[in-house]
Order: sequence, then structure tokens, then C-alpha cells
Amino acid sequence: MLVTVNEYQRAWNKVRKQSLSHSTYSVLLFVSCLDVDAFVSSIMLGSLLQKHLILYKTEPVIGYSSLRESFSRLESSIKNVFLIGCGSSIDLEEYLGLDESNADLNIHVFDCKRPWNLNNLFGSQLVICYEDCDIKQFDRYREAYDFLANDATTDNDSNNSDDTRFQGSQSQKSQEIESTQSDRDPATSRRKRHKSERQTYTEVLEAYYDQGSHLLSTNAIQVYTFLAMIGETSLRMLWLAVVGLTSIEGQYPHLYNLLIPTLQDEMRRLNHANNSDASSTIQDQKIKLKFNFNTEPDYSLFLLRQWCLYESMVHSSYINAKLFLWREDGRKKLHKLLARIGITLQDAKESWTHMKPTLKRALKSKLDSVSEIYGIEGITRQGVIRHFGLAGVMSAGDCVESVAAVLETGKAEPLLRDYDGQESERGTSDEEYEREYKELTETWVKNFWIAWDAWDDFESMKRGVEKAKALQSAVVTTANYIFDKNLPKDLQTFRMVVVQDAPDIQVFWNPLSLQRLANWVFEGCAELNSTNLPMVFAVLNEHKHTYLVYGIGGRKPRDSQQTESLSDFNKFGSQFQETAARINARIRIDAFDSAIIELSREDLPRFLEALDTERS
Amino acid sequence: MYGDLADKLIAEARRSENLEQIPLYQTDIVRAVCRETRQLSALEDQALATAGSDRTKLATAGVYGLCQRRNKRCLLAYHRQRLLKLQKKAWHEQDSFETSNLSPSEQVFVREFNEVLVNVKDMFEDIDLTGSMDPPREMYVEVRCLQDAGEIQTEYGVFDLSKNSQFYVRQSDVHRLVQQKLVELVKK
Repeated sequence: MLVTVNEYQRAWNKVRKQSLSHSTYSVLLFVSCLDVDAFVSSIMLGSLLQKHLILYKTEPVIGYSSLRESFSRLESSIKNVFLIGCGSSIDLEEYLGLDESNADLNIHVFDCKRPWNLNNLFGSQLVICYEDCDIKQFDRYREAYDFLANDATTDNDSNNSDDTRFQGSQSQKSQEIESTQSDRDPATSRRKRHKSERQTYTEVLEAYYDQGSHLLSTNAIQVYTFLAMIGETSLRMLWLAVVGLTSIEGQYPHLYNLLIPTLQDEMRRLNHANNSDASSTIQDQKIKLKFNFNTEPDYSLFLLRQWCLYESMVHSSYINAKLFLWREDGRKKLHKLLARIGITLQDAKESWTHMKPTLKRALKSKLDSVSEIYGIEGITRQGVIRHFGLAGVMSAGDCVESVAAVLETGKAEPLLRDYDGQESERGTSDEEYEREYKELTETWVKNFWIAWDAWDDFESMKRGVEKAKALQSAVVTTANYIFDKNLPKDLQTFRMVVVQDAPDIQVFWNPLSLQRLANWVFEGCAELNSTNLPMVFAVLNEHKHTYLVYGIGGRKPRDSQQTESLSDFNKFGSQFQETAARINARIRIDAFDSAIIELSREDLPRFLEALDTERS
Repeated sequence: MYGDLADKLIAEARRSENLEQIPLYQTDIVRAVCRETRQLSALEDQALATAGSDRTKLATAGVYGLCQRRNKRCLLAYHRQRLLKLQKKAWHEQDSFETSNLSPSEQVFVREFNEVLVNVKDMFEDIDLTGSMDPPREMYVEVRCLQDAGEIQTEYGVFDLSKNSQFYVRQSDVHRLVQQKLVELVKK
């Protein structure tokens, strides 16, 4: 069932009404782990439920299989299940095995990955899909879907002729034969019209699924819109929404630029409301002090406020891509840039908190004055900065990096899990894989809770920041290695990077870190060649004899001005699946992002080859 | 040296003072201390019998006596400390605590103490005497599950305690689970 913005209030009232019973808890939140956006969204929804004294349970899930497993243990008292950051792309009713016995269950989906599985949207009464974008676009899909669904049932009822619900093309030949046989019969001509209608409708649906996965919004924004519609916005929620939105900035800069103004308006509104209200209580003022954030000039630099100017330039994917920092002359260029704006290396390497105030204040105008020469116009921009009283300052971006680093690595001091020495003992049987995978996922879930405890506390966040620095350094080293060895290879339809051996490679055996690295390399490549090819990024896990593969859809460079299409489409998800099925490769598709798969080592060359032909 | 063993018991008692768990009962040391005390007693008797008016021998006998008394005090202190802990535990976590570390007579003590406790509680049916003395701050709390414990029945329904999930539920429902260390409270 599709629920649009105007119907949010009604949906929420229903949830509230159903949760009034005296059971232990009747609401369950499933949160996609390893996803900063889903993470903050779950905190937002959780606070909302707490405020209304609705009892609930939160459970982080890694991928589809763990979602199904947890779902199978569902208690009978549960009336409402929220899926956050997952579930839009599969047929939930079928995958989770719902039947009549679940008739009083509601599954709410807050997931901004598109395309929807249309069975969720139109076919099911149990699945409630929240959609805050333009819903007119769905009219034609609904029409097509309804027609085909009806068609299928009548077909089945009458004479079981051909069940071509979604693969219309297969029966084209038989159609032609039929049509020549009996042209004058009115019944047949009706059927003929019917068939051509079916053809067009099937094409509409196929086109919808084939457009590739993309984002139209973020989970946090969706949840925030939900809160706004039911009148529950607050500074705390707003901050989380900002963090959620910022988390996609690296991957979808356009979407970020599109959506941030709305949140900035909200910031003005809430800050103003709190200031002007003379009767605001001490409680309000406390919250105001705690969540003291505003729009301020910011830079496309990595963790600037927690590091020093030089390091954050070196670790910024933007600067790296624009100045080609992995090359010797790139570094020289950076030094020259600093010299030009009159900042000595010594000053630049001073930690930000201790940098000269005059330099700090003048930094924006100085950078602006040279940005054109170096083609880095995007270096200064607006950002959201939060002040933690006297403890320090953190931008939304810093916050994202910190949470992401904790989700990736948890509390452990060294970045890497210790793999050495165990290699010989471990077998390579499927059972071993499963066990190991389970172990790994368990650490991820544990990290989720560590992040949960840390997100609101400056000191804990600071620890996350240190991790993020270490991770980013690993990214830089590995990416430099990749560029040095010239690993990116252009195929016909995409660019591929296969990393078999590199310093710190173990760090990237995790989807979140892999995305970090892949995006870094992608941006570099995009600047290097003007042809804007999508990229397939594979990292070898020697220990498991598998590749972790990530596909990045082609996208416009960060500061291009075109805005005709709102989003960047990534077609790799379905193509990965089809290719693997065609060449019979051993893969694991479990991540909620369909463009991340695990592939057995021997199958990779065949897979890439087949993928290239599939796409051309 | 006489008294060294008893010293060990005292050290043990001091070490365990702040521990959550009651450590293993030191049967061997306790026995050895008793044996030593008996030896001392024999030595003292012997010294007294042969002493006559020899003041050195009388003094020796005196020291033997003091050593025995010291041993006795140490034994008493060791046991008292354990008993106090047992009583405290019996009040606060009744059915849930581990008894495998206790000596047989301690186990008897716990059992009988519990019986007494139940009798006392029966006299005040409306009051939960063994409950926590701190008033709850909130009616509802956030707890995180630490281990897979399957389904657990509560007043209003069923909990599915699966590891690494988090609940926002009635304090009264999870009070017992927190005591049993199946879940932990999430600090705010």
C-alpha cells in the first residue's frame, strides 16, 4: 500500500491506536546495519515511540537472510513492524512468507532505495510504503500493475492459457499465429486488443524496473517528513536528519545539494521559534544548548575541525581528485596552493583548534581567491556545524565519519581483525564460510550498539573520529597504490578495478569501507578521464577466497551544473544478478544495497567478461 | 611459620570483598588451619606438662595458646565475611545465584535462610521485601539483550530475547531479567 505525505498522520494514528494494548511490546524496528542513514533514522523513530510511551524492540539486521530469520521468530503480539533502510526492492509478502494468519500485521517500510517492488506498493495491504516524492509518476505504473494483475487472475480462472504476467515477450510468436487464423471473429479481435494492451503495460513495468537503482531521498529525510506531518519535530530530530542526509553526500552530491535547503529552512524555523518564545522553559533552553547547530561556511575537506588543515586536505577525496594528489606533482601543486594563500606548511600542520585565529577567519576568502586557478570551486560551501558547548565543534560531516567508522570497526583499537595464524586451521568448506560470516555479522551488530551509545556524546564521538582518521589514511594508501599500479582498466561499458593485493587490504572486506575506497577511486578516475563510465570495484578476500564486488553507477562530477535528472541511476544491481545466473557463478547477494555482492574467486574473470557483454 | 595459612584466608576474604561472585570455598586451607591449631594445642599441652616453674617454657606455652586463638579468629572472620555476603545475596537475588562455590554447610545455611526469608515475606504479602530499595526513575526503560535466551513469559506477554536486540519496555517487566544479567540497562 502506498502512503503519501498527506496520509502519514492517519498511518501514525493507527499505529498508536494499535499499540495501546497491554502486551509487552507490539512494535518492532528492523534497522539496516552498516548504514549511517538508517542508523540515525532508527534513533529518530525510536525517540518518537518513546515519547508516546509505545513499547518496542529494535533489531539491527545485516542483510536479507538475517531479516528473514529474525522475522520468522516474530511474536504474535507484534502488530507493527518497521523496516528502516531495507525492504523496498523485494516482494516482502512473498519473501517473508506472510499469509492469512498475519492479517493484522502491518509492515511499514521506510526505505528510499528505488525502484520499489510494485507488489509492495500496489499488491499488498499489509505492506505500508512511505513515499514522500512526487507520486503522480506512480499513476501509470499502478494502472499497468492493476491491469496485469487482473489479467493474470482471469487468465488463470478461465482456461489457463498463458501466464505471462511479467514476461510478456516470450509468447510473441504464438500470438502471431493466432492472429492469422481467425481475423473476423469479434471475440478474437477483442482478445487481440487485449493482448496488445498487455504488451504495452508489461513494457511500462519493465521500463520501471530497468531504470536502475537510485535514491530519491534519504531515510532520515523521509522519517523527518513523517515527524513533520504528525507535528513532532524537534532540534534533536533535525540534527539527526541533517546527519542522515550528509551521510549520502559523498555518493550522491546532487541529491544532497537538492535536499539540504529544506533542512536549512527547518533550522531557521526551529531556532527562531526557540529564541522568540519568551516563555520557553528551562528544559527547552537546555535542549537548545545541547543541540546548538547552524549553517556556517564549511569546506570540502576531511574532518577539518578535528584534524589540521594539511592532513584534511590530503585526506579529502575532493582535493585528491582535483589535484591528482597521488602523483608527485600533485603534492607539489598542493604545497604551491598553500604558499599562494600564504599559509606556511608549519601553520597548515598545526591542529585546527590551535591554528591562528586570523588564519582561520581568513581561510574562506583565501581559498576562494585561488579556487578558480586550481579548479576547486567547490571547496567552500555551506555546512551544518554543531557546537558542543566548551567541549568542541563538530560538523555534520565529522559526525557521519565518526559514526561510520564505529559501525565499520567498533571499539577495537587496531583497525583490523587479526586474521594471521588462523588461516591454516580454517577449512574452506561451506559450513566454515557460514560460520565465519555469522561471526563477522555479529561484530557488525555489536558495532551498531556501540555507535548507538556514542552518537550523542562528544567524547565518544571523538574516539570515532580517531578511527575515521585511521580508516581514511588506509583509503589514501590503498588508493595511491591502485593509481600507482594503474589498476583501473576501461572495458567497453564500464571501468573495472580489481584489487588483489594492496597495503591494508583487509580493512576493505566490509561493505561500508569498500564503498569509501571505491568512491575515492571513482572520483579520481572521473577527473582523470572525461568519459564518465560506471565502475565495478572488486577487492579480494584471500582468506575466504572471494571477491567483494561493488558497482557504482555513472554519475556527474560533483560540481557540474546540470540538474535535469535528479538522481544517479545504478543498474548494476539487477545486472549482477542476471549475469551471475547466466554464467552460473557462485555469489552471495545479501546486502540491502543490491550493487554489493560477494563472488567466488575463480568466477570473477568470467563474471566481468559476461557483465561487459550483458551491458553492451 | 604458624599463622601463615590463616593469613591466606584473611587475604582471600579481603580480595573477595568487592567481588560480585562468592569465590570457591577454601576447603584445603581451612582444614590445614584446623590441623595446625590442633597441633598447636598438643604442643601447648606438652609444654605445660613439662614446664614446672620454667618460665621460658611457660612463655612458649603462652605463645602456642595465642597462636591458636589467632587461628580461630581468622577462621571466624573468613566465614563471617562469606555468610554476610550470602545473606545479602539471598535478599537481593534469591533464586538466581550460583551455589556451586559454597561448602556443604554453607549450602545448608542458604537453604534454611531462604526458608526463613520466605516465612518473613509471607507475613507481608503486599510488600516486595526483597525488591530494590531505589525508587525507579522511569516507568519504562531501555534494555539491551546480552545473550540468546529464547522466549520469556512476563506479566503482560512474551519476550523474545535474542542477542543484540534492544527493548523499550516496562521497568517492572525486565527488573528480574536485569538481576539475572540476561539484559543490561542502556545508559542515557
